[in-house]
Amino acid sequence: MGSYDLNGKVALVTGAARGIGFETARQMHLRGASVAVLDLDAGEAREAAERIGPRAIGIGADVTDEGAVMAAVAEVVEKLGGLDVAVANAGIAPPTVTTARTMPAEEWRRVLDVNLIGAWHTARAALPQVSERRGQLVFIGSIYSFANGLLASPYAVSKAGVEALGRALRAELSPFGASASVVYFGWVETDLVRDSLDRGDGGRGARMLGEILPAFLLKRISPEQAGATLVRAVEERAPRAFAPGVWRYLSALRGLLNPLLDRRVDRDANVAGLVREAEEAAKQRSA
Amino acid sequence: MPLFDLNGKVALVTGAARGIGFETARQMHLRGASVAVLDLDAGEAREAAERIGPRAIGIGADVTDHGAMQAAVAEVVEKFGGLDVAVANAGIAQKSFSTVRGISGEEWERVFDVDMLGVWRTARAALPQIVERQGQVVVISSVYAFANGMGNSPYAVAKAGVESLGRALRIELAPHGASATVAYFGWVDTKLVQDAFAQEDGGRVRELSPDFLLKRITPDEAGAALVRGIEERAPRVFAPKWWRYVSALRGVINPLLDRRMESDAKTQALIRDIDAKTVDASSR
Repeated sequence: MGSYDLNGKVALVTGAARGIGFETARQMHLRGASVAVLDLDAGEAREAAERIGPRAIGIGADVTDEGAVMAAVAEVVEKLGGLDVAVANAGIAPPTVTTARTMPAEEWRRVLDVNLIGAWHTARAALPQVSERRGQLVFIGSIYSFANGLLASPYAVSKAGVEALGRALRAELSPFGASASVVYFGWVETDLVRDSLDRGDGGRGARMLGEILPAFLLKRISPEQAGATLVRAVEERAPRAFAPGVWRYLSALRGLLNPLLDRRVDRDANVAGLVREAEEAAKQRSA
Repeated sequence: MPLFDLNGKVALVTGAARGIGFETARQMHLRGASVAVLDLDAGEAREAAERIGPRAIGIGADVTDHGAMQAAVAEVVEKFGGLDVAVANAGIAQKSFSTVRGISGEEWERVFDVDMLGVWRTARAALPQIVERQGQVVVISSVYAFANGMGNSPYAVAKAGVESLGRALRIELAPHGASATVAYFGWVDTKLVQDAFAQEDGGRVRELSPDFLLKRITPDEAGAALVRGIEERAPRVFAPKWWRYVSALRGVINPLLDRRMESDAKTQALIRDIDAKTVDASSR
């Protein structure tokens, strides 16, 4: 599909008060789009919209609440005249880096609710407008859509699901001239990545990744770079985009690499040590 | 002598009153395991257990209910003295092919709740025993874990998630000497698949795939593949087998197949019809 001019379009971005979402909204606004900044906290959403510029509005909405997302879309249509592009960006990481066995059930479930059910709610609420206006849905996949989710299982499960949802929707929207994209990010310098890898549990997440990934796959990019990749994908109606770009090749080889990598990690004594350590810490926390 | 001898072990299978689950339970029982047949309806579960044999019990349990799963595991432990193998098999499909735009929200979320969260709840309830006894968790995924979920999105989303959960679990269980297996089934002649293809658009959906991908296997064959995977503690089980190659090439094939869907006239016509039907049916 050809190029898509953001000038004069209306875009909505969930989880846009900061990080990748904020950068996406800001850069779409720079291209001439009107943007709705959605975030959990209405005050923060409005404040972010003010920083972005005159054609930006802020709306408080919890993506786990289908009614709230529908109301937000209705508000966007009323204030900005329609909706062309919906970016389902809102996402969280589990607050504890531990196994599926020892992670509190509510925490595990909450990650799925926000990342996957939230994306589904956003898509559902936006679809009538997006299909009518030949617009776009954008989903935030992750390298965890295909990488092993050890010690971060709800995140990986949610991102594998989001990828499947985005692919199905792209096919389903194609007869109507609308489209869907999945954008896969590696490590982006956001609060989510810093909290879960560097700060959480004494940096166990970062140590675990250091065990299993070579340094060039640990490179972090800025939210600005991530936003730029996403906006370019929208302008190209690309089925998928990757940032950093190297992950495109790992995705292409996933069917062959994953069984090999999974087996290697399965037998890695250092990884086993980290798994034990994580479970011990989780046990103490719940005790 | 298999790596993991089922003789004398205790196994639990969800959704085991019929289909793949029933066959899995039956064949594990044949190998000498005691088996717990879980299903939504207690009567059907008990009836299936009776058909399986003397070391089988039937328990009614809904995989969407955390407490019910925990109670079922507790009952298995009480009756058989422990639990070594948990097969998270229970799954449903949506009533008819429908687009994300057209499906009812409740139906989409219900399929996800049973097929994805149900697997997680089963694993959660079983894991304390599995870890203690160096046992196994088996999760039933599907070729939909990597095939495009057009017209069938909640199922594909759930099965992609199940695969991801199973892979993570395998690494997380390794330090305990326990393991997890992901099983990928293509078309198995079960009620779920028969119902799907009996629909008005079922034949047209079939036409979109090459014939060799449509070959159906029996629940018996699916169960046999699964039981062999358990005996080998295999990371992955594919049935029919050649889906293994499709899976290995998925990273390259999927972008090409997905693109074909966007330009293929037959696919486009089918999506339009499914969409029109379901969007009209909903109140919008």
